[in-house]
Amino acid sequence: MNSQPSSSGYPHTRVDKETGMKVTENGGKAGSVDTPSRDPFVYLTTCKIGHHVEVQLKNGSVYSGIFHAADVENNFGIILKMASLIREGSVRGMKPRAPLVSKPPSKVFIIPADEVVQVIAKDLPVYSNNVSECEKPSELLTDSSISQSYHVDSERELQRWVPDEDVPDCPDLENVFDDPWKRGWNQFEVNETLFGVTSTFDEELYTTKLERGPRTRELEEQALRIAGEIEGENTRDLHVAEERGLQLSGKFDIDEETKYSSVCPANGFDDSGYDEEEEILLDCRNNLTFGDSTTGSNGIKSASAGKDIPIPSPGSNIRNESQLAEQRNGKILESKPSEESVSGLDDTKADAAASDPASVQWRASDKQSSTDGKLAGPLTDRGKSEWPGTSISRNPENSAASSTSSLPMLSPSSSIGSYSSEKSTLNPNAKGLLIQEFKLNPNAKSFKPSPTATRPQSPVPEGSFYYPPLPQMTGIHIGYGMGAAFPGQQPMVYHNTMQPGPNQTFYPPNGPQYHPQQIIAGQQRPVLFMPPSPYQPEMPYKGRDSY
Amino acid sequence: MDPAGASVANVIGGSEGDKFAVGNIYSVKLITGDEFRGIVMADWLFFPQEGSKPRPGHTKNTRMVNASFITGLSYLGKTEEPFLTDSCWVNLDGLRAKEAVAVRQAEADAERMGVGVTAEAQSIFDALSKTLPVQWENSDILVMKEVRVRSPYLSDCVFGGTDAANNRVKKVLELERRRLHLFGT
Repeated sequence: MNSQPSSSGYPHTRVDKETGMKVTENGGKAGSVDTPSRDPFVYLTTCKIGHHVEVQLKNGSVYSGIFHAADVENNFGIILKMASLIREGSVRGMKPRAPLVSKPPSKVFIIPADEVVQVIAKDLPVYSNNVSECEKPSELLTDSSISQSYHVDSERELQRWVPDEDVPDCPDLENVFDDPWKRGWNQFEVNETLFGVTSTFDEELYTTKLERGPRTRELEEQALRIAGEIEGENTRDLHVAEERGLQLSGKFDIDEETKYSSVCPANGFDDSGYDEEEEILLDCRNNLTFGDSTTGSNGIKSASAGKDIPIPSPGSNIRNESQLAEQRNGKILESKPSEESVSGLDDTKADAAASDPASVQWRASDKQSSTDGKLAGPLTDRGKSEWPGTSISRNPENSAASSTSSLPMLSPSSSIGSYSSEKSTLNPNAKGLLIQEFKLNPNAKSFKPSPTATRPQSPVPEGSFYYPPLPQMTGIHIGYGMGAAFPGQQPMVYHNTMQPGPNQTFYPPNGPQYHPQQIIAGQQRPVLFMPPSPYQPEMPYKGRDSY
Repeated sequence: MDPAGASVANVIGGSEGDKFAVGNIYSVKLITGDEFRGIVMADWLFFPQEGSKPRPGHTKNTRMVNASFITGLSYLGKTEEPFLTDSCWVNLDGLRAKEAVAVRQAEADAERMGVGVTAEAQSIFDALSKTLPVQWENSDILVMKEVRVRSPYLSDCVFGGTDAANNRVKKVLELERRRLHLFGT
């Protein structure tokens, strides 16, 4: 019980397991470990090689070092490399872990067996049969490992929070802010008295207006019922399930990090299916907002083909209604050739009528109906509601067809009549894309960019012009600071989401350096017409304030 | 002192000579005052019983305990979970490599540790070492091999080097000290 391992060489550990481990014999003692009952013991000891361990000695001092060898045959003397004293044994109290370093770590530290009380190895990798790969010692340096102080513990021992004794007096956290009107607490009042600030808060700006009236109770019950249904739904999302109290997956060993983090672990998570669902949802919404392209195109086609117009689904194809309404009202747009309304059927004609070679016109590939007053007012807002997605090439065909088509081709049905007087049906679900429409003023002077533009002339390569994305958003009109040249518009606002990158300068398509000779009429690209005034190159878009 | 969750313990055969059955759960008290609970992992090996999170790679906290130092032992129960199967294997080469790496790392760390210096000095050293090349020279900190910071490592203890270097070290030292005080090190 007192034999020390030899200090001549490094005593080795010989392991002898059935699966053919290597046997080390480095000289020195060679022992044989035959007792099968000791195998796991020896195995675990072997696992410790190279691992950081702490050895506690009889006198209480603790040494930390790299486990090098142990004499398993005899009485388990231990050899550590680079061992240093962590804790003094003689002092009985709990010393902090970062004391004075009194001496440098010993390169080799031999501990006789009878002094060893325990050997603690943390996070010891224990290989079982299905772990095929060996732990690869990587010299990867992480930032924190480089920069952290030697004395800092890498991880704290986390302890669960326990509330203090005096907590029962405190109200339940969840109910503290409930029902302020019942508690008689009005923060706004308090602020006013204390600080003199008046609030303009109106709840209904931010949420749906509740209808309070005779039907309130009924509506509330209905809402509660719907809420209950939703909350009782099954879900695949881990977080939602937890809120609803559902046990989502059978594995109970999902740790807190997975449960409460918003990052999906790489090894497959339950919300993989949601991507598709979301996409589908978005598509639905888009269709609602913008109208199905199919129905739209069908409508147009049949209109020009002289057939009966299929009554389109409400919310889409209001443009067709406008056509019908126009026809019905007997106002053919071609009767006003000077009207440069940006109307779908008439754009070619309108262009011809306008025919101002100097002016650079804005032409979307599919025009929305104009916003001038001649059409019924309700029709002005419908520009948003339909995106037939037709290309420009259809328009000539359409206009040709319509010019030749006679009025009576359309049999106005009763429902059409209702359309014309319909209220504006801006789709409430529409995604936030407001459009500014404008009508070209036939009286506007043509815009000739002068050499004395505000901006220094710079050679602009063709490719740097900004063309708004094409066919999907063909109906967008980009509005810039228009000023008073365009009366009678419904000022709507276009958010230019494409910001120029930091290295590019933003050349709006109508910049002063754009020469009139370069009319891109032949190309089917939208070009913006703009009066010379208040354009500020540095701020491509300023929102409503720019008007 | 005892790491939470105890550990696996391997009881070194001692005079008590008891062999503990695998899977038994014991609460053990040692002569040094340590107490822990664990499961016998393999003939004299204990395993932590409290819910230790299964870390990736099947690592466990283990303890090897010399049986002769056990002062108290109480049997708590038994568990059926098999810890080690027969087909466990060990890659000795890998282990040796790991050891070599660890030793190298430890040596490098040892270089950074000043011998016989206070904890404060060590933290100053560590802070300086983030941006400047520093090394210990007895109890002086040698920065960029020319500027020397003596104990007690205040701004006026900076000697040597060119003016520029000296000032730079002074400045860094001041700021690091301030930061350390702020964090209460």
